[in-house]
Amino acid sequence: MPDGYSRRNFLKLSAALLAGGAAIASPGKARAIGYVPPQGGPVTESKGYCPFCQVRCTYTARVQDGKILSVTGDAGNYWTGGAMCPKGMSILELMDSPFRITEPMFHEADGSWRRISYEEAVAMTAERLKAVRDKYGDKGGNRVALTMPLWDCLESEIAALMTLRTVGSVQAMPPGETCVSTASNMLGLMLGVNSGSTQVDELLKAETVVLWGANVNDLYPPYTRWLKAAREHGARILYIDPRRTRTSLWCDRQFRPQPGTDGVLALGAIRWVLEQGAYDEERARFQIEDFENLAPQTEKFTLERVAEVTKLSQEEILSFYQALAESRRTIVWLGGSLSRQTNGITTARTIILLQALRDNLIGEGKGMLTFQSGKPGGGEELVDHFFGENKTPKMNFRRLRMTMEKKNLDVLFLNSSYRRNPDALGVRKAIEKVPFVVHMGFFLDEESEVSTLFIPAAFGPESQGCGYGNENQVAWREKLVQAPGSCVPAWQFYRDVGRRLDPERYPDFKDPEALCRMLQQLVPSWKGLSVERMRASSTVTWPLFEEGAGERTGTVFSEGKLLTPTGKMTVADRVFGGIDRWDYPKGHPAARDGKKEFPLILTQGKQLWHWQQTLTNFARSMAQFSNGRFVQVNPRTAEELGLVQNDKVMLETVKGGLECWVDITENVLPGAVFTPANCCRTTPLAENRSDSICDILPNYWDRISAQHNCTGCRLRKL
Amino acid sequence: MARYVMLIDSGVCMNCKACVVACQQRNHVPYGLSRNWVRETDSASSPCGAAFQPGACMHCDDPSCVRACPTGATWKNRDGAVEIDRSRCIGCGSCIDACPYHARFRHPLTGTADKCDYCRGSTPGQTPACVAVCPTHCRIFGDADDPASDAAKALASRKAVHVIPAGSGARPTLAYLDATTPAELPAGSTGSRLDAMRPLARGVKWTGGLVLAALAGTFVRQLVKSSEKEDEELERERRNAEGGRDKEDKA
Repeated sequence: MPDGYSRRNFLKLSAALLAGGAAIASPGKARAIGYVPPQGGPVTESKGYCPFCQVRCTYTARVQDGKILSVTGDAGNYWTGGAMCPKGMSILELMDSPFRITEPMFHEADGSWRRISYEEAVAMTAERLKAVRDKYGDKGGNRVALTMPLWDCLESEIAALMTLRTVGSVQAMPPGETCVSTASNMLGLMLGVNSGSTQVDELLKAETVVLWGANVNDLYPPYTRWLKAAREHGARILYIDPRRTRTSLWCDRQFRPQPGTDGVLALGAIRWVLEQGAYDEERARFQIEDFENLAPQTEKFTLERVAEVTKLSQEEILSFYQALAESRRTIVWLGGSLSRQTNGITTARTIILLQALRDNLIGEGKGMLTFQSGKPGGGEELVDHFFGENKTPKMNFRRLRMTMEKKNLDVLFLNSSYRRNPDALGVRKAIEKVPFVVHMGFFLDEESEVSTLFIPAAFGPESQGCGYGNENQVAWREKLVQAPGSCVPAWQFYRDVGRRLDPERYPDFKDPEALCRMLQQLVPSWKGLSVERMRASSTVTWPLFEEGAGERTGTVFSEGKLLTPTGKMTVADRVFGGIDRWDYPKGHPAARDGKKEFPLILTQGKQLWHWQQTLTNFARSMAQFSNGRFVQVNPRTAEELGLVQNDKVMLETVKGGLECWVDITENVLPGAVFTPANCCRTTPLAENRSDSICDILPNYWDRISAQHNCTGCRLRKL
Repeated sequence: MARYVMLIDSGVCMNCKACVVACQQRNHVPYGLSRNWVRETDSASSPCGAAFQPGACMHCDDPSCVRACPTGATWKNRDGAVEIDRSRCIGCGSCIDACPYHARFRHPLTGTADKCDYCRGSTPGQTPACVAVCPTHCRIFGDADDPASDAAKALASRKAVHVIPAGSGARPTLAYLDATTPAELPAGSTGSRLDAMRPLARGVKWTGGLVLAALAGTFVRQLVKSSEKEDEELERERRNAEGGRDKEDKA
């Protein structure tokens, strides 16, 4: 027995035990008794805008001690009414993400990364561009390309376009090429405006709103208020989508045609309207050049044929056609999926013709909306001002891919995700043939894997600048917080490279505000969009030709006619032919090239809390609602295949397979399969992890863009 | 005196969960835990196959969580809110078990009970984050006694429906407008079991308190007791022991 089992020692021992116990219990994690939250410095509030979808919600950020505490929708924003969706709020987490890469890195030949300084990265990039310029001179333009979008602001885009011009390149791929290219091209061809012809608040003046594949509630949650308001104003909302979605909750009636058959439904509608005489011939001829072609081109799309192809009942079809024929003011909102099928060109053209036939394009509460309704122009005018006009034809992504495959591209600025393109693995192989790929990004992802140089980018709140969105809105944002490490906004990187290459022509601007003021000075359509005006309001609508001028609202056909050169559209197009050529989308099980081994129809799309295959996949705040790669199938299909809920399957196409789990739901039609578009392979969060869906999607080409929706697939039980 | 309530038009909720993320961010709740929620119920009559019911702390009258709290760290405020004083909370979890709505959880960083406080802790005086971000404005918050408030207007024009876990006897102030699915929640095991144990718990609390007080008193007495006397005692014992050993050696 040790000498000293005294009360004093007992006290010492108990004190030590208490202290030790407290230490083991980790006081940092158990501050229950007497916990008082830390105070910190004063909290300020500033405006910002969300970088993700086209709505471009503005928000109020609460900033304390150089950190954003929270973001809440900007109640003063007319378009959003203060709403914000979860994916927009994930920006807060992404900025502070432990997975974020904050230093430039060079990709060594053995696959390892070497940390380099920002100055080295700029010098290395400039040197590569200079080598192209020295070797090819004026002919080197097509050896350098860039993929958009850039994440932070309009000024970054302009800065990047100018950097390309230092070597004579105009090859900046717009991001829409795999999204809404078909719709925007057809709208441009037939209406003279390559986006929506009206604004979302016009829905309130419409009698009928047709959401043609437009799943507004899942894709644009802040815009749901316009659907709600339209209904409160008496508009009838008709929703056409094979899949039941959140938008189903808000429509008066949903029609669920077979995936890929929307064109037939529209062709039948034209035939029916003509047959019923439910149109004003004079008005129709005013908008349709070859009106006499309409009847013969739609003749074979009888009610029976439409019912056979769409698998809608004749009663359903008639009720839809009657609603269209009776409505005096109809707005059609074209969904993105229609743009991702090879027959999308015919579908979009037919729907636009239908609107013209019913005189539902020109006037209040009439027109077309798309999922990318408006982007302000003017950027290229500014670039031309400094670098002179450059009339080199722009490549589309298909040509760019071929250029890369032939090893004719020397430098690629890879900003967006290459995985948004179908046959993504083929695209990746092509990129791997480019000797110098610069990726401005945030995480080590599929893009950095194929990059030579990684430049850590800045998130929106880490730089000032203006952003644009639907309705031609432009919003201004101040820099709210400092970017971590060596992260730089894209405008800074492109400016530093550009200035080093061509200090004479590349304008010297110290920040986006300086560049934005150049826009106001040199581009007429930006004259009224002063930084001061943007600072004072949530958003301002482009164009504004005069300071203090009122914003243009409503239909773009303010002069009472279409904006095409002739003021009219045609049924039989010189390039795309007639609308009677309708066929199933390529690869569809019922199409001529459909394969018996792949009898199910594959559709894919966004989930509410995810944006593309990139950033949101790295956010825990979104992962908490995700559950990995799943396929949704109808109970009848599941029964035929012997599948039960949560079964593991391989989703297979002609291109390959992905492992998925099965979710059985009435929300998809028998014979169809739905899988989410987001998920990426490189996220550390298992809930969002899967190979890209585009890895197994074949790339069909329709003269405008890459297509893949409604291709055939099968499910193999594992 | 104001009487704050939250009203929810669950018929227009589309389960986007903006309210959940906005709340987590505004109130520093780690992702995965939450002060509010959207309950999903399979529903054949719903156009998308499910009915959605947003919720949060019901700020009950005579709340079971308040009754369960041993330290008085949570109480029903006169303005209708059920409040938590984190500096008085000992993190015992009684209130968490007592809430039939499972609206409370233990915050892993503070160790204290956590739940909806109408964002008073983070942004006093401002609209709660969940209300502000909702794209469909399905959450309405305000003073039910102020006829000009949205809350009072909604209550005047629509039927207030309360969702009560079976057998809980809860008296929530959060109300749904007109109708909601589910109309009732299944009985939770937690609240009633604790109620049954209440007399015993009270006894234990008092006995435990007395024992703790006695222990503390002894502890303090020992601290102030002259240590010299104790040293003398020790010395004496040592000497006695040495003496004994001498004897043994001699033996």
